[in-house]
Amino acid sequence: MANVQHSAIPNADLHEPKGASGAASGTVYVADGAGSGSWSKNLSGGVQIGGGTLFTKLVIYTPTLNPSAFVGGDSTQTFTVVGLSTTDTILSITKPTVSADLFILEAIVSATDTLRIHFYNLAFGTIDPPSEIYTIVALRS
Amino acid sequence: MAAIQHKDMVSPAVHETKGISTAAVGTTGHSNGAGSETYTKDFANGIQIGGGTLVTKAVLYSVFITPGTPITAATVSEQSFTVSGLTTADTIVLHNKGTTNVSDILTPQARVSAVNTLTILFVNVGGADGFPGAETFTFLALRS
Repeated sequence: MANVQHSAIPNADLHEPKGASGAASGTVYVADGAGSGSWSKNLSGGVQIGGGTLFTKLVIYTPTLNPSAFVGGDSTQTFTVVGLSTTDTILSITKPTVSADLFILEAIVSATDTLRIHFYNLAFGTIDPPSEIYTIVALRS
Repeated sequence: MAAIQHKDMVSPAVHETKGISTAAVGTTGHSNGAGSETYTKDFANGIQIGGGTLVTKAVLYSVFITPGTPITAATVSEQSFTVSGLTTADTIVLHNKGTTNVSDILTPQARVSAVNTLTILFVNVGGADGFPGAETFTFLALRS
């Protein structure tokens, strides 16, 4: 058998990558920045699609929030949601039930661990939204 | 040439990963769970960014929706629609109403209220009853 440089071994004679024998289906090999890596679903360094923005974390939060009562018009209220960072963009916020005349215009992270929600009351009277579980999707960049 | 252990070899002496010679640009090697891997853009078992939530599926839907009843002036109300493929583990991340054919009608939120059921919150900020038009809505569902 002729000698061949390791770098020139043809595909049919190559071995599987290190760790593939014990890797779970669908996992990918992620570099650890120290010359090695591991098979994981966790893109710990983030993901960048098509050379766009590097997204470093995506978390779906389900906190129980109890907004304060307010009269018609705008109300901006803040809530503690541990884990949020000012580099997070709130992709969506979902209230699980309908409260008459009430809807959410937007939500942002106003400080570390602090979610600020902009409510709107279409009526002139007071609305006291119930305490319930909201779903929030936060994307960090 | 001195002998060297295979595990001690470093670039540029090492070969490329098996299968990469025929892999399409931008694909990633994914384990098949049987000791080998394939190159694909599909994260078949989900993706977890930065140690956050494991998202097991992301689907962009484009669905023609026909609202059933008008929205009373200055009120909010939900209406539900059949969208095959949705599960209660899905979070609706964004939803775009195709047009603004009815002024004063907003759709600030959508959620999955049951399997195959999309529930949209309609808001009528106007002074008269309004009927949301039948049109194509686009939304992204993340499963976790």
